[in-house]
Amino acid sequence: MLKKVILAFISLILLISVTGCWNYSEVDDISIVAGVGIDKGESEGELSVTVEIVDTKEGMKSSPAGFKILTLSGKTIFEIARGIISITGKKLFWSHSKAIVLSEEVAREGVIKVIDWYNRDTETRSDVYIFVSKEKTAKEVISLSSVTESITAFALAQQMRSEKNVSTAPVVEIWDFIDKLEASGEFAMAPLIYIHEQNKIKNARVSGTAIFSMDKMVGTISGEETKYMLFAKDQIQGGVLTVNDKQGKTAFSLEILSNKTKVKPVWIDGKLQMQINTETQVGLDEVMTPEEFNNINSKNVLEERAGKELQERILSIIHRVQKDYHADIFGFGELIHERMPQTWKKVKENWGQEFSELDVVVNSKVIIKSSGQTSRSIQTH
Amino acid sequence: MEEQTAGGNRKDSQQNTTSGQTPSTSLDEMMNLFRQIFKDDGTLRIRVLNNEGSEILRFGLVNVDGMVDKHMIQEGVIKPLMAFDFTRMEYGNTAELMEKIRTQVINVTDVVTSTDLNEMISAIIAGKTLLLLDGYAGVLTIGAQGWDKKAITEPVTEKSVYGPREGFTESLIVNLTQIRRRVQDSDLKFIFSKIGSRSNTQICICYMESLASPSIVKELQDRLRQVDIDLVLDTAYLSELIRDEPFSPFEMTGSTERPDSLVSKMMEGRVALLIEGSPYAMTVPYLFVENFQASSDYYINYYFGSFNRMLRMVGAFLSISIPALYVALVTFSQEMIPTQLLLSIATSRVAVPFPTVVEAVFMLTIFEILREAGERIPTYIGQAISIVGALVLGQAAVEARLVSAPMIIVVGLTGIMTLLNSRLTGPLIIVRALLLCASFMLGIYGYFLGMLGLVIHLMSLRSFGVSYMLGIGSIRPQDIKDTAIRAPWWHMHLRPAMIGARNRKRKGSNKIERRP
Repeated sequence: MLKKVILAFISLILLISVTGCWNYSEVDDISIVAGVGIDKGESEGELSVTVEIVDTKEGMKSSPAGFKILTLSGKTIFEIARGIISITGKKLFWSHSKAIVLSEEVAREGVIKVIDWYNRDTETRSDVYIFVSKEKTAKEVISLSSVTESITAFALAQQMRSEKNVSTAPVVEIWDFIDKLEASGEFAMAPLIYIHEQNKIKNARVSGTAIFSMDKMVGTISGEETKYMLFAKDQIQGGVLTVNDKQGKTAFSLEILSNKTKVKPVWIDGKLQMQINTETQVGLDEVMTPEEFNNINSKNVLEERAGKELQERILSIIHRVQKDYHADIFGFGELIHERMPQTWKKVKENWGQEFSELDVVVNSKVIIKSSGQTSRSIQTH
Repeated sequence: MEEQTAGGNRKDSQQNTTSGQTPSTSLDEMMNLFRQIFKDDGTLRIRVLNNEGSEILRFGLVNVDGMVDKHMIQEGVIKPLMAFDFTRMEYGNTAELMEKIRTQVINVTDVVTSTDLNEMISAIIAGKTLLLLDGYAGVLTIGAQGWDKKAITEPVTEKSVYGPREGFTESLIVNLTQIRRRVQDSDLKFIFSKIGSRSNTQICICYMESLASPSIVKELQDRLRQVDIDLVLDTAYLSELIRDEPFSPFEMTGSTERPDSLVSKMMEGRVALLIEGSPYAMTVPYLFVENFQASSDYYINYYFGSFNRMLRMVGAFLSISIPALYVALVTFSQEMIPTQLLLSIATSRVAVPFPTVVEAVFMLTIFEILREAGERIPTYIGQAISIVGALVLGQAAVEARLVSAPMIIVVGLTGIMTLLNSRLTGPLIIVRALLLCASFMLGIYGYFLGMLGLVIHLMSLRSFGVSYMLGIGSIRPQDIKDTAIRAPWWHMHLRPAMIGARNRKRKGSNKIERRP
């Protein structure tokens, strides 16, 4: 046993030691790429690539690095990537790139041709976040300067890391994206990115989801819808759940503490049905009404109402994706593939269509774990 | 104490002067002979005495000035000889008389009869006093040496906040008493011999008879016998001559100036070698882990002791790795550095004219220069000066953009880590340079290749037949209780098997009853 552990440890060390390429180059002789935006070029069949390069010349003393934006057009991504050396004079260093932004136009035409290089090249990393720009071009987004970080791509990466507190956009890294492109029972998606303008300061804001069918973008869903979509995919780690009061007005905010979603394909009356059961632990975080909730009964009522609303919303987004896009971003196909391999063989050929007609049942349960610092609502006299 | 004939150190010079000569019965001839042998040696003192009562009895005293306890000679030899009433004594010949003087007249502990001229000469050189008697072809050798000795002081190189503060001195006999005071057991053996064909330095092999392996004792004696050198000033001379693997940068024999540390090593079955004139005792066999053991580990709480020891081990590892890894990461594997760190390294590297490896070599050399300079300065200010020097120099170098700021951190860390293990400083510098070289040429791959080479080298070393390091396969839990951690005493029942295999029980297994 001990020998096996040691052997594993040794192979781990060897594994580390042989990664990376051993080309000698000083850090000051490379241009570190922070992020990249891909647009269509001006002439037909051309691509335009915008790279955000960390500028190490600036800010030598205190805060490290400003940035430089370079745009170049060409026929293939690699041609452009090498072409940029003629501008910078330094080799581009892709390993620290954090974000790749595709324009909607490029996404709708098909992404395989633009991301293959990124996936294939030895210097690029597959843990880069992928985005689809809701603005006209990806260049606009990548050229922004952000509030928190001076480098947009790093700010975007930071946003994605804290996205779990919001859950209004899926977090997609490029390896995951390519994995979904290749899977027959699940469709790919990517977060949408906007420019949010406030006091004449432009910020990039991530909200909503771009839905892909095969490698082409077919549509979008909003940030709010994305949240319920993530519920169905069991990818919720946090965020806010709003609940209406008796009159149908939004009155409660529940903080999602944890969520567990179980999806099960079953045969009912000769028809395939997906049963989705969600169980969400929440904390009561905001009450905008004097309505009583501090006794067991009112808590149960609120839990029930929240569960019902959640259930409806999840179902509604599933129906919408089924009807409008025929794209199984929920991964139901993969699930059937796993649980019912025989059935999958029959349906996989025409899965897009089968998915649209799939019967889905949602059952949601919300459990209020705490009520914050106070147990009562603010009462007026 | 047992006197052994020293091997290897044939006294060629003295044999030439005394060859073919035998002690004469005439006092005057004998005195002339000594005068001739010690020609041009102004320290030789010869004195002739007569007894009050019987004036025919003529005595001669020969010794070397400065090495004799004059008071003892005066009270124990001269006074009794002059005052003794020889008329009451009955004796047949001068030999009988000499024997009676030895047993009845002389008031000194260490008196032996000698008839060999070579023996007499070495006795004079060693500070003993010869008593000659006219008409007898022999002498009494009186061991009344006395010279100024340094007092027992705190060890300089192995300071410890806790535990005993005594250190060895330059006097062999004082050192041996320090050992004996700590282990009052007849099992403790001291074997004396002489080494150095001209210096005739007294050395002492010291061990616990029932614990030390006889083959190691014999091997040490055999190796010492083969030593043929004119002068031995310190155990380091002998260590270098008799050690295993003479080309390895790592120490293959232990060296300590703490009696407590030496005794504890002997209690694990090690054999010690002490020499006259050096406060450093040598111990064999030596294991790699002893580089990290400090005596204070045993005098403080075992959690803290273990923590300190692990710090030292990590320090040794980092001090060879940090510069090599930094160079490998910054010049080859930039993708492995966290982005923010890479950016700050990149910004500080801007406008630095030299490649990273040149920076590293440059700064590491400067650090070593400062360290050496600090050592040469005779007071403890030395270290402060070297640190201040490094800081000021480092600061200025960064501002002048000769080196980048991260490099200063790398070199500073490396330096501090090296100071954690003062005993390993030498080997660490060499290994660090080799690893740096490998990293510069092959990147991370080169670093690991170098590390692999280092491990293979360490694993292949043997000190007096004992492996320097243990392989994974030969580790036994009981043997590693005093390695990376220092296990509590109530847990260390046995001595490590590699050295102390003869008598493994260290402590009984009974539980100490504690009543609250």
